[in-house]
Amino acid sequence: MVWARQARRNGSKAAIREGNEKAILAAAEEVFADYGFAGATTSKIAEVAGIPKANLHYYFPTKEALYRQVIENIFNIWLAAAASFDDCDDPIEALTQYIHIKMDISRTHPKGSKVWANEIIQRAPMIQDYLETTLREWTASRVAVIEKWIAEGRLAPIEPRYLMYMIWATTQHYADFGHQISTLNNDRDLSEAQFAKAKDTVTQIILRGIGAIK
Amino acid sequence: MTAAVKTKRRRPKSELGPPTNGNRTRIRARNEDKILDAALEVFADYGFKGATIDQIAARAGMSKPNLLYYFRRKRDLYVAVLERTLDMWLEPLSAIRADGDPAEEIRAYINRKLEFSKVRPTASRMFANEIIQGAPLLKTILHGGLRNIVDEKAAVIRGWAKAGKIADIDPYHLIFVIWAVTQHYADFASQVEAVVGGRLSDRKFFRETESAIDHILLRGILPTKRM
Repeated sequence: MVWARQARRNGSKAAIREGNEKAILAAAEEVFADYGFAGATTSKIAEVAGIPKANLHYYFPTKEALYRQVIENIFNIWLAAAASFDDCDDPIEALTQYIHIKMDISRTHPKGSKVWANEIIQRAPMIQDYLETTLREWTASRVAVIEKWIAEGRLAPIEPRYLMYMIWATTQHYADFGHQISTLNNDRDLSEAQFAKAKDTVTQIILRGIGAIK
Repeated sequence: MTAAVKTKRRRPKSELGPPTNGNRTRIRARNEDKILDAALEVFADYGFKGATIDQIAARAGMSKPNLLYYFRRKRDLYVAVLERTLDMWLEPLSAIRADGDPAEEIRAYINRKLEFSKVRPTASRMFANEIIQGAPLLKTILHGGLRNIVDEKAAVIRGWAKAGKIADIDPYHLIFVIWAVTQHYADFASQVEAVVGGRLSDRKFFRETESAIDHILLRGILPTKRM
């Protein structure tokens, strides 16, 4: 929408292309989150993006291609969040940063998280290969870092995989179950202050839970 | 099946109204459960829009008229399935006693929730699917018992924190964390399986999961001196 208009104003072909792709992907994320893969149509996505349907098909020939791109985008955002594992010397700081960034992503990209969750709930018909290759390898690489911290005596012995699942489950819950959380919050989305409290509580429970803070 | 329909049609007027006979109540409850089990499977596979009463009746091994005797519309069935899931989940939350040992009360709740993820994964997945899509019908269901029970138990947890029996943590977010962590193993089962090849139906994996979750969450909320 906004992106498409901006790009048109900017003029250059590359900028137009980039703007259109961004507009389409943002619209696709929203439509897939609300209707699921089966319920979403490229007409609906084009409409939300404010782009003619023929143009959409020029950038993304099929609904499936578009869907995979949306999934890949949120996945890459999540992967980047765990770069703190390599960048921080201190395990506690690395994990704190990871949890904080994951929580922030749930706040800024709830729709992407929902598209991913829906796909997994439907038993990953479209991305099974992705899970068994990219996600598995990446998880193994993060687990290896945690095991190294434990071996060096810088983190209490825990089973790293369960820690990773716990971080994924809790942080993504604030995106995926947002409607339920709002209902319990007198039908209002969490305010900035409430969200900060959520972030702090989740971090506290997990870090205390693994013996990282007392 | 057909016999039940005939019985219903022949039902004398004197039997209308609330069932007074224990046997009849049991039959009714059993048939309702059978229908809701079938409805859950069909809704989980086809969604609300894609599901049909015919499919559900066939899955339940029941005639369509007999099914419609219990649930008049697809919408009623759908609401009943989601309510049953929520009731199942809220029962062990309601069971938390303020005068119990906080660690034991919370452990029991976590373990019951995880057990549901093992035995009723489809119910959890359908519920999650509806929440994610923000289904309008769900709002009504969530406004029912959920809010009251959560408020009541949040007050209990806050009381424990004030008394120094658990760490000073926000009770609502603690409850969300418990929901998230336990339901993850049902909702994200295909991801867990793709990454580690473990399923809750595998006894060893279930025990390991349960003990890892208990360990981290309880240590996460108990005062340091307890550990």
